[in-house]
Amino acid sequence: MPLPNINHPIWKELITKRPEHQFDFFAFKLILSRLNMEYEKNPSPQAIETYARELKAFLEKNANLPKLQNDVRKLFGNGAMV
Amino acid sequence: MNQVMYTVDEVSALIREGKSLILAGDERTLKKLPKGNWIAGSIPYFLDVDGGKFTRDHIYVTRVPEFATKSTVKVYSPEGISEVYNDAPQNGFSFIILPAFSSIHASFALESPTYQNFACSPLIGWISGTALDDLDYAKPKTFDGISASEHQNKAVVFHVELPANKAADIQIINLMEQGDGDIITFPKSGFHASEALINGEKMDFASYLNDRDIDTKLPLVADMHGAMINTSFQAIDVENRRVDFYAPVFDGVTYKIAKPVEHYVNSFKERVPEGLEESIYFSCNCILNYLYASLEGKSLKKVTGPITFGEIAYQLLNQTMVYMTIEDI
Repeated sequence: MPLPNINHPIWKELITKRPEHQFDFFAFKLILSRLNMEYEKNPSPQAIETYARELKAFLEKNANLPKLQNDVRKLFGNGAMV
Repeated sequence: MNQVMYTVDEVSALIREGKSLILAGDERTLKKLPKGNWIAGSIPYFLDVDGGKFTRDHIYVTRVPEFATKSTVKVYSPEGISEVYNDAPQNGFSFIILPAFSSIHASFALESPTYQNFACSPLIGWISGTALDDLDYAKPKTFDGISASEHQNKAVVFHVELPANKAADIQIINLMEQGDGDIITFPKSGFHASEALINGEKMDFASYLNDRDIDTKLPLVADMHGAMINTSFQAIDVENRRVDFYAPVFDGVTYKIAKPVEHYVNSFKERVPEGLEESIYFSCNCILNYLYASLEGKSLKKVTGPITFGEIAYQLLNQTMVYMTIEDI
């Protein structure tokens, strides 16, 4: 199962709320924090879509890293792949 | 036990053999090296296998892995540094050294989280410095071996491509956690602040720290989804209402003063995973940890590396140990 489409509500949730999960991959924590801050400054729908695309691209670019794969499973379930 | 500290003659021989090297050493020592495939930063403090040490005679050597499929040295000016993530290999890592107190240091610190493709590839490194006794006159430097040039305002980077079955992983060890005190935010980002919002109320930040006798060996700590990110205090000037930091504070980030750390060295040792020294590719640790933990002569479970004026794990960090492993995947 690939990552959900960019219109899936989970992307907006990640940008606008603090997830309950504890993530392992250090870079994921940093980029998520930055996008949360960007959202606070510009919460427009267009901006949220831009942030979501950046987050999805980040996950896809680091797809080979075991720690990030663990974090992706926490978010999207065992079947999710990037 | 792997040797990590070498004499100038030994490093020169490695360079002439064509080895690709990432180096840390005193400026005067680095100037003696021949041209070759290397980058370096100035610093005379190190963690060696037997403990922290100050030396102007030996150079800390990190070899680009033999299994790397490609490695390229690139020198970045302040105008070009925002491309560092775009230039990173598809699979691999980039190793960066920036000179302390320079405009490229400041701009990287403030802007790297907004660079295109930020954190899409591992970026590890450090901020070069000088002996603390030399701070009044010496300038931190970076060096690139391709031209055997020294730089006061340029970053040197080794972009290293790894085979598909290897992956670099960057981690940090930070003793600091957010304390239970006031919530602190800043109206603007920067390396210094005059005002802060304390629990939402605007205050003169220098007076706030002074009046409450806050121990400024403890940094400001931001909780970034569980990653504790420090901003260390450099100077408090109550008269001029100014607080300087070793890394920028950011508008929009919530900080707290760190909890006090008991038994600084022991706390550090407890956080270093067992056997890490066997799997680690590179690590560096902050000069403030070196000073506050009195690390000279003390080993951190045989983990080695330069002692630095700032650590880079994707972005600038303070008062943190940064390390990278290369794993089979």
